[in-house]
Amino acid sequence: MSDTDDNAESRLRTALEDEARTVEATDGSLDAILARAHDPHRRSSWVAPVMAAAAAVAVIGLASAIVLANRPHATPQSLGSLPAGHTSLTPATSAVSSTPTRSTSHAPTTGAGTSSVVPVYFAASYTGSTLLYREYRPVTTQNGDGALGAVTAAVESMLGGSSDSDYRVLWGQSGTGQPVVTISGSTASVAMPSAPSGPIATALQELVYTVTGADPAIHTVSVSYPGGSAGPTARASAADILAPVWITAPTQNATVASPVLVAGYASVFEATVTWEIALPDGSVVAHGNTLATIASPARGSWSFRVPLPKGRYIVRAFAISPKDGSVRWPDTKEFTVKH
Amino acid sequence: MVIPASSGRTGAGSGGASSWDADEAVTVLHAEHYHRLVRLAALLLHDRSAAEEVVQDAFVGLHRNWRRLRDPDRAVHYLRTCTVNGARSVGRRSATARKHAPILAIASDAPDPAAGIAERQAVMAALGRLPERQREVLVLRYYADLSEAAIAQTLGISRGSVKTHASRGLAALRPTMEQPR
Repeated sequence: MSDTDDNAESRLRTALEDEARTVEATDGSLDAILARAHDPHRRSSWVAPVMAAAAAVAVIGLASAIVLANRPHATPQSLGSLPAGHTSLTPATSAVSSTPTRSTSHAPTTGAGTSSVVPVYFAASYTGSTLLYREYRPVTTQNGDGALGAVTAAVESMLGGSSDSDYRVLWGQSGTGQPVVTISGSTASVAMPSAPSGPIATALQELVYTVTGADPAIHTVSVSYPGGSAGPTARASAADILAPVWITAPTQNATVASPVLVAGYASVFEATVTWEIALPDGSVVAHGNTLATIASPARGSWSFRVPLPKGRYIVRAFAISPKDGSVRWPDTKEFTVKH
Repeated sequence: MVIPASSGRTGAGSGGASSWDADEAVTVLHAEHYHRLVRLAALLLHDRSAAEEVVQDAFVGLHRNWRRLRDPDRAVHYLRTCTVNGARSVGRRSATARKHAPILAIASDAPDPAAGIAERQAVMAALGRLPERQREVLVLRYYADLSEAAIAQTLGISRGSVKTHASRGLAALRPTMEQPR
């Protein structure tokens, strides 16, 4: 290459890198992908490149093509995304007892019980406020239940609690009865077997986020519970209700290989997430900062890899207060590195 | 960043990539590659929302095909190929609209000196006017940092064609980039 070419190449490279930096991926993409992957009735909202996909398939010698069609609903609206918690979680066995009044067009699924993965929300409190965290839970729904089954299974999974002892359910775990879900249009009505056990507005949002995450076609949720009820409620803004720092990988009690992928979401000052990895006795073996893809008030993703010897660890990620340098909203996950 | 293949560090034991199920594969590859693939698609398309759709479709395809792929390197190649092909398909459909719209439709909020933005916009506009193949080859070469062989494989063309498209594309852009700053 001549000098002129080198110059042109380097300027093109710079222009492309600079241009690319202005493009930020939105939250919720992993949600959307997994929801579509597990539900063949959820399709892309645009007419997809069947030809192009077939060409791609040919390149690497795959037999099955990607077949896409018009999708009946908008792109899933759930916020943030996180790795599926299938490594350490017990699938909720859902005996669906719903009244199928759904009028929208989810076609019945065929075959035996259908496995899917749904986002389920839990809460934790820090310095007096209570905000939400999310886990992916595998659920099994019965034949033909479609979205109704997914929503019911998600709410049951939520009531079953989190594997992360830092998280709690804001609804009483009475152990009697199951939630009963009905869906009409874009509103789900949920009859809860127990009353809220935490701040009511936050408990309501825990349920709303879980239900709307299980079926993105649902936009509002009505709830009745022993001693009260609430009319149709939509998701509160993420900035108001989701905890500022989430660790989404590794999942609680996961067994992972080194170098360990640590990932999450954050809505923090200057996009800076601080992390440390400690042994069970509390001694810190690695620490650092990483940048989320975007700073607060937006919510960005972050990830890094860290080589660790075989053993048991706790990773802690948090924001540092710009005012006083204090640790804010730590999230922790325990995991095992196995070679 | 490319995850080590099944023979690599992550390959041994139960945590290895070859033992991932489709959810796990999509989750890990999403964390490492989604953002950059969206940027790649956006450079090819000049349309961020369509770029995300294209990349999400690629990941849904990956999920369906993981049992056959099994290997993160092959999976990344699959994702990139689907992204380029998907972008081409969307680009053709919106080509008419784009002729009558500003080339740059991407929100620009990154801190950048004004001169840099002007050159970038000029380069991007010129890139948008190139024939499809030339644009793809230049973006894969100078943004995705792919080798000639990898570009040839991704686009399903010969290495000779890659060279030809690259040199013609670069020649077409040179007048724009040789403007005094």
